[in-house]
Amino acid sequence: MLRYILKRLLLIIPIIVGSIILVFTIMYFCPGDPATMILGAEATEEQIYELREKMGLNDPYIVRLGRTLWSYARLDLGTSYVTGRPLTEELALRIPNTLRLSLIGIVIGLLIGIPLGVTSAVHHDEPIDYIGMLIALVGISMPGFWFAMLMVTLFAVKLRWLPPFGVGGIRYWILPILSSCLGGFAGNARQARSSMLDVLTSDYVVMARAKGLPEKEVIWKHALPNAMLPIVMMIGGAMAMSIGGGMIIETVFAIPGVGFFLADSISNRDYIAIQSCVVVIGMVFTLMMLVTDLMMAAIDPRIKDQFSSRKRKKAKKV
Amino acid sequence: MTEEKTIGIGVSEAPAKKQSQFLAVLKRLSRRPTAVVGGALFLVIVFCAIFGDLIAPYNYNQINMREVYETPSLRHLFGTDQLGRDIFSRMLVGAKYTLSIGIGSQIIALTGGLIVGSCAGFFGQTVDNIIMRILDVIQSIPGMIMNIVLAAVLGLGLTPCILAMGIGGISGTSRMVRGNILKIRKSEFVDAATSINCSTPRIIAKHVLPNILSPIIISVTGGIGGGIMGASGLSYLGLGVQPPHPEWGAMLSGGKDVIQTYPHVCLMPGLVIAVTMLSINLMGDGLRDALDPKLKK
Repeated sequence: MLRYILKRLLLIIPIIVGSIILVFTIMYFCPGDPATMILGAEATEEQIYELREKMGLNDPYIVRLGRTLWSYARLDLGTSYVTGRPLTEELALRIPNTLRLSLIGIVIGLLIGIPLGVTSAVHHDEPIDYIGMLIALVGISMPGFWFAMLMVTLFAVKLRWLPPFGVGGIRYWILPILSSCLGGFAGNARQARSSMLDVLTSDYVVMARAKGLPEKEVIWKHALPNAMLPIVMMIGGAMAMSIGGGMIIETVFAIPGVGFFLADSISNRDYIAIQSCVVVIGMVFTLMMLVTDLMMAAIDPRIKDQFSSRKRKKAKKV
Repeated sequence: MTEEKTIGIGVSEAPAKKQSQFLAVLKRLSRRPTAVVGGALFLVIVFCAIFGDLIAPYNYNQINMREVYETPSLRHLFGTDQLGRDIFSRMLVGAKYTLSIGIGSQIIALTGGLIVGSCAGFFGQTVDNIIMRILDVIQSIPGMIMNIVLAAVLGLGLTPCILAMGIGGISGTSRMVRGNILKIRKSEFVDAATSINCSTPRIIAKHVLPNILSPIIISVTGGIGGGIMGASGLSYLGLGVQPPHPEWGAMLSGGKDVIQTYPHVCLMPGLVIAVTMLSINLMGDGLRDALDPKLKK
């Protein structure tokens, strides 16, 4: 297992470098000139040229790419064009908020979604199945930020139970987390139900029932572990949704996270800040995907086996 | 003589078989009430998108300052907005923007995905490896974030929004196409086609693609919904289609500042988006079951 973890960790480096190159390339083709933006519309052409030269914007693509990669390697994300503050500091302040929102959202989505899906599958074609799947269907059909806005109107403005926006104690986090886990929970429930239904008709479940095991044991010991693989595979997609949707939810609740900062930077046309935000979000997401991959390997020994050394494979065959 | 006969049989039988399969899927689909409801709802929305201008009770851009923020009533089914414009009429006209984002982005994603995915799936080895590593890199950035960045780079408006959602979707579609091609690449009929000297593009187009049609249809149905949802998110952040155009997401975010005093301005567009998504999801679920080879028999 240790060997597998090490190999997966090493494989992450080219992906992160690749994603930095990708984001840099997209931003390179971005219309608009940071130098003009900093100096304002009245600046003369010489002034703009001078600043461009100073910022290194006149250098060729490959030189600027190299410089960006080198500064990222030293954990220096650059300086914001608009506020003039170092972005590493700005983002370090904001990452904990984003992580809290998305991680708690994902975990709650799993904790509610999987049991709901399993219950629906076990009671296939019964009223409880219909009700559960109706809830899940409505959940994936609503735009998350719209749901968030409705919750704010109901619980914060009309009933005054919870604060409408900002950060602070636990009370401030209830609404944002509820709205960010909505999509994930519904998706997980649907996936859990369909993979559970697949497993429940398989031969080994029939066998387990035939030898007279209690139904509870059949479901939790024989069916669910085998149904977990597609569910864990699906978690990656749920995480992407949670991070992407969480970004808009941060904007709704004015939570000072990376997403809110990204939205701010886009409206300010602060290109270097956009670039850093996306790279940081990409890194966080890659690390989360690594965790799901490790979970998959823990569940399914076949995956781990692909990475074991050749010697051991031969030894196994013998 | 014998050759002519085989060709004759092939020609006369092929269309009949295709038709029956299509009808069989439709038949299975019509047996599921949820799928029928979803499909009917979606047809209504498509109808609105095509004839919205003709059936709208008011001019969608008619400003009427005497009827600002009217709550829903019989005169104004969905109420009026900050300029006294009839929200129901605006939604009818706006359906074509929203649907064209959903469908247009899927056309781009599917075209790109088919090309990239079939290259990776069919040529295998080095080509596959290179393409998959590039896709790994692209997918290390969550889809919604990718769409937002692309929209920020491409600019505001309908076409950039379609492009951003479409290009962002290529990586996912490619992966789906590749996975399905890998599944059937090893089957006997592909070997048979190779043995009678079919060219690779012909094998892909004539023998492989028809066999992966069902997962493609399912993914496109889901993708249309995803495009609509994503575009509304872009509008909320001030990207995508801009306010004077009655795109649903833009209308929704137009009402976000007055949601506490006049919630209907924001509620109605959101409700319509949710109902549209519901119809697409119901249809997608129905299609998934109807196209499932396990249930064919």
